[in-house]
Amino acid sequence: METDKITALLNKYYSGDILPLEYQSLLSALKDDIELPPELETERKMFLAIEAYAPLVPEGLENQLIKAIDRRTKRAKHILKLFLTGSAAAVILICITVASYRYDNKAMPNSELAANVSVVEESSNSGIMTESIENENTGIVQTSSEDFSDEAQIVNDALLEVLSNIHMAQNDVIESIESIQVTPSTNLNI
Amino acid sequence: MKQILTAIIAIIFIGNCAFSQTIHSTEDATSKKSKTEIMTHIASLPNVSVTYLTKSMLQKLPEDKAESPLAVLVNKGEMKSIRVFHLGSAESEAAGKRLIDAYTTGISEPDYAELLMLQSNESDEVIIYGFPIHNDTSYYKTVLMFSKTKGKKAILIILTGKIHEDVIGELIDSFSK
Repeated sequence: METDKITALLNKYYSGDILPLEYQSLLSALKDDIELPPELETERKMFLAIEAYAPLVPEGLENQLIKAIDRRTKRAKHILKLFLTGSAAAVILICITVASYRYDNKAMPNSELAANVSVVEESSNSGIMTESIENENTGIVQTSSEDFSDEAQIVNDALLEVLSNIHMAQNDVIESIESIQVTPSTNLNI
Repeated sequence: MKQILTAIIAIIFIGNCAFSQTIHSTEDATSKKSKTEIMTHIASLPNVSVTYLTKSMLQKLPEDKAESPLAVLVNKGEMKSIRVFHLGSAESEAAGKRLIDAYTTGISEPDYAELLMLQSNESDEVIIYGFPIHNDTSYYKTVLMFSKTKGKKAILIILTGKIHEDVIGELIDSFSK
């Protein structure tokens, strides 16, 4: 091999870019008993001295390396499994929560309905039958009378009676206020 | 084994969080259940009548009711329902009061009950509660009116919808004579 080529291969070796085949050809070129320039002679001596030392490989190194690699891989898988398990549990619980919340709200609509109000018959003298059957699931009230006028009359009369009582209550309050007699000795500076 | 334990702990932890979230909705459901139970109890008592007008029924009111408190409520309030209890016994009156308590106590913030009127003496009693809509307190979503006069049945009226406070005032001014 020519000197220039040996120099180039040596540079590649030191920079770490040398290929295995190139390394072998460099090694065989330096082992050949050829005359080299003084600087390359020094390089040859150093190179061959390093090659003379066989690496000390600890016993069972390969097995240790394989075990270490396996351990790292297992840990990564374990963490991934944990993450997936936790996520699945969270998703299931969220679904259960949402479903139960929606079921509760469906069963108990916002109005004060949601009752099995049984059929009630007024035993008063008016003789008006007011019948309300409430469906628990849909909250729809079905009234037996197609004409609502009786029910409307009942409600209207009830409202009038309540309002009349309110008026009487208001009058009572006014009377109470008027009955407060202010005498000259009354101390208004409380 | 480790994985099973971890999964169980995760489920317990997340379940606890989810459970605390449902408490609020459970509390609302509980108060609604108690109202329901009281209403059912009232309806089962003797000498009690319950009249219920739904939204669709209110919208089809007969024309001869044009100048009546009911018409005022329907025309000026977005009524959803009107329920009237005629309570003809002491037991039913007490149950009616319990229903009012269930309404006033079974609410959570930001909702609240506004006492509009309370007048009581030996023979007569008037109680009116309004439950404002939380984002517009000039409207009531529910109005409870309880009235008791000597010699007559007690009346409990539950109005639901979107009732402006002026409508209640107008009812009282126009019809309480």
